[in-house]
Amino acid sequence: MGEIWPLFPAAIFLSFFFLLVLIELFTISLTKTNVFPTLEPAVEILKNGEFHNALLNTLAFVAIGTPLELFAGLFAALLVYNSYWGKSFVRTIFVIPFAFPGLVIATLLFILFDSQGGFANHLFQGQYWLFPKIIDHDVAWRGSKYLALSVSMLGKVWRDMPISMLIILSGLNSIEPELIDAAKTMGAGFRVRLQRIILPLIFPAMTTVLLLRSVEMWKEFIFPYILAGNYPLLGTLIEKLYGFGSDPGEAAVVALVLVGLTILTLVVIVEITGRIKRVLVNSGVNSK
Amino acid sequence: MADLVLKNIKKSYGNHSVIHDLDLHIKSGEFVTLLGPSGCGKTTLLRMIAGLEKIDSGELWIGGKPMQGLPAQKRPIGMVFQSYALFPHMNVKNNITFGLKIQKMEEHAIFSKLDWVIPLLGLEGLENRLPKEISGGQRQRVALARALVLDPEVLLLDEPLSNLDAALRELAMEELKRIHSEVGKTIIYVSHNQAEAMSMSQRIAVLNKGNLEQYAEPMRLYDAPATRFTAEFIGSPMANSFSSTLGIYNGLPVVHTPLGFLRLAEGFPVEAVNSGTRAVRVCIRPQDIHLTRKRELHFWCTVFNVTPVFVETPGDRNLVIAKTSSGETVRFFVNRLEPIVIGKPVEVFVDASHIHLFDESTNTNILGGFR
Amino acid sequence: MSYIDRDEIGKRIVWAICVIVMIIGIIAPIYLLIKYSISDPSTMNTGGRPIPLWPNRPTFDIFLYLFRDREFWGVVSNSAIIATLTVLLTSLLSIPAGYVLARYNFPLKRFFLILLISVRLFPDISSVIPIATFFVRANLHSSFISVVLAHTLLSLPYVIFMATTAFEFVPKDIEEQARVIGANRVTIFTRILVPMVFPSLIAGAIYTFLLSWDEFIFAHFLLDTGGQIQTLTLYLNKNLSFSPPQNVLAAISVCLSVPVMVFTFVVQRYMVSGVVSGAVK
Ligand SMILES: Nc1ncnc2c1ncn2[C@@H]1O[C@H](COP(=O)(O)OP(=O)(O)OP(=O)(O)O)[C@@H](O)[C@H]1O
Ligand SMILES: [Mg+2]
Repeated sequence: MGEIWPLFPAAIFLSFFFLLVLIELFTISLTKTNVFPTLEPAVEILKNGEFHNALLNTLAFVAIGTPLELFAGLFAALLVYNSYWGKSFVRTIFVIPFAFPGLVIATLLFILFDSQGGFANHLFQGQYWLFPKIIDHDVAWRGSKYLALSVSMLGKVWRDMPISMLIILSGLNSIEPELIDAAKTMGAGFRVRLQRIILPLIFPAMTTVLLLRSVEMWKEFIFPYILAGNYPLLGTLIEKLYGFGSDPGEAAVVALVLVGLTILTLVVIVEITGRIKRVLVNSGVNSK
Repeated sequence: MADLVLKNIKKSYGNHSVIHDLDLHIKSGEFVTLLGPSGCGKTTLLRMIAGLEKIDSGELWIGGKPMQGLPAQKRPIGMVFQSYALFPHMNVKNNITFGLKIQKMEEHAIFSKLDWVIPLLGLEGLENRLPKEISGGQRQRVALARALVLDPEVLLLDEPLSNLDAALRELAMEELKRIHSEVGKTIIYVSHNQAEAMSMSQRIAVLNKGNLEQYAEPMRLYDAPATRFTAEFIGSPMANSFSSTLGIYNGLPVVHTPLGFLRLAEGFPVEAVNSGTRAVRVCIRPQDIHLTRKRELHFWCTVFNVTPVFVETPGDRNLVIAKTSSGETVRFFVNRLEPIVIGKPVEVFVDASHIHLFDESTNTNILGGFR
Repeated sequence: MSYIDRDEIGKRIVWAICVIVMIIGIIAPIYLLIKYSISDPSTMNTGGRPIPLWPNRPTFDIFLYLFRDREFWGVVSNSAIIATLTVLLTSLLSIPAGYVLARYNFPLKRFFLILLISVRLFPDISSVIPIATFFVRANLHSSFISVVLAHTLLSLPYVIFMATTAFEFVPKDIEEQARVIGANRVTIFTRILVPMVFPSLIAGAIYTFLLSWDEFIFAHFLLDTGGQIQTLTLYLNKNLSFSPPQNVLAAISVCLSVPVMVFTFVVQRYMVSGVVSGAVK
């Protein structure tokens, strides 16, 4: 035991703050104007229509954004993996978005998707070479729930795609090249190799992406905060309740809901991917 | 007929030329080994035949069809990799049926294939195991089964035995020979182990630094090596090798070596000795030098004296390392019970038909042009 | 005779198109950000005509203005101070911890690792409320120390993990050898181990610096409510709400990004293996 004392400062620091967060979060969520304990904040928030909206919006944000990031990462990783030319160059370019702070990208989208004279409006009205005309008039990108949250998601997926890509790429790189060659000599074309060899073998990496990215999606704050101020997700709702509403109790309840949903999502993903994996390994065994 | 023909095959990686200009004709049903030291381009050649590596120039024909531009998955080949490359997420049966399922073969046909190949390779009872749950030898047999069920015209094997221990290796070699005789496929086998190659193949292609040194039956490689490289590479330990000159002695062709004058074989073309000073390299295998022991020797044998300096005991025979009077080292085998005294000269002889002569500048067999 | 079949050529074309589209999708926004930061007013307010792809009159005026602005420098130095202090505190806590985790097995190790993962995965937007409340009560609100502590909490689990991995790569023999020669533990640690894992520690330090430099949520909750201290992210956010000309926003964004980009490419290799192994464990 005497050997491990160098660990203590970090251990104390982390456990102190972790316990503080847990205890305070519960305490605050059970407090209303100095009355403790009371379920009033919880009851209030459950009746609050804004909370319902935020919950549904966030659910949609997670349900669409997580797979989107997985596919974006998978697509980019496959492009790098199958590089005919300049593999490390392509990879470096694909990592660039990750080098920008989220706030910067959100600001950039704020500029580009301005409702009047924004670059996006000009682009989508077909005013530039090669780009097709999609809309007739200027669109108020921040004036509609769907548009505002879509732009937020676009920013989020764009910026975080490299993380998914790198995780999947490391999965791909750990596949022995001879396995792919063997599949070729057995008559497997690109699609069969992808479906039957590559995807099953990078399944653990894809599971990791789903787990990490779903957590990120649930707690997303910066993009909706800048780009969808009027249409809160759970994260931005917490800020709104804590700051403007000056209602820390309700903010804490939402924060707890967010934690609960995050854990629930992780459990569900582990469960589902576990089943898929079992099916993958056993596929074909059943036919005696 | 699934003859495999390689014509003027060339391959380089960047500036580094790996296969220079290679011609090879492999007959249908033949068991041919590509033999050569590490890095000589065996794997590269095999991968080019399989379509996994681009051929820079030249032609490749299998069964009378040109293979240029055909990707690996469309070539009539099966391949077993050095690492076996079994799919780790599929059990033995799914590994074996992978290629059949791609061909959309009907279920009952797949079953009859399995019923044929599983007993053939002794894989009964392992069908539902994952590759990590079976032994190295079993993995090798699964890899072979997986290639065999696809009924390829040519089977390519890249050192499939190199991961096995000596005993298992022996067994697997027997197995391979049996399977070859049962299925009668053309097999191209890669090895850098000459004993393995000699015992298994009908013909051996000896490769060195991307060149084909000789392509012949095992015994012919041994008895009539076409190049100095083949003479020294085939057989173990390495052949004795001396730089020498050809000449005529008493009207008979001889070679002047550090061992003295050695008589050359009956019928040695005198034209080959056109000048009395032609520089040659003499190779004599340690197996071809014997103690005289007052034996009756026929006319074509030459006797000379050497002084043993060391005796090695590699197995059933003793290897004597001796010096000639001029200080050159000679190695030869003697019976294990033969009393050899270090430092006491012994009388040995060599039969002229076992003397291999190579041109010092081209390293090719002097007799190459005359046989 | 051609050695590349038609399928192959088709595949290459598809690959090239996909890569080019991806590269445009990645580079174009960044190009636009830089373009906006050097745009003159006539480039931004075009009155309905398409915004030019290159500024009519490129100008560095905004940057010059920012660089002459005392408030801007104050904000930059605040961000830098907070980030530096966070790096120091994180290193101080994580290096010894990483060493212990790499070298010893002890009963509570699992427990500690679970704590690390929990802290790392806990949503920051959820933990910010109790932490802000705590600092208000402790009278540390709107202070450097509160933000530094909060940022350390964010960076610590990951950097401990990086340090552990780095120490695991140092063979135990080296340490034992040094001990045989007669070096004591502190000497071994500072003279032998730390230099050997230095690259990883630098990577961890850069990661921490950038995390703090970029961080918005904790800075917002801890500093934005009536205090004097502002960081660069808060400064950008404040400017957003004033809706200034777009080139001002873009120029501040560029300033915020430059260190991140530089460092990210310096440590890309470490970050990559770190992100991946951190994700798997
Ligand atoms: N992808 C490659 N890029 C560059 N050089 C290569 C590549 N693959 C092989 N080589 C080179 O080509 C030569 C032949 O390699 P090859 O793998 O065919 O040898 P080998 O005869 O199979 O050797 P071994 O018995 O060790 O397997 C070697 O010098 C090797 O370094
Ligand atoms: Mg090889």
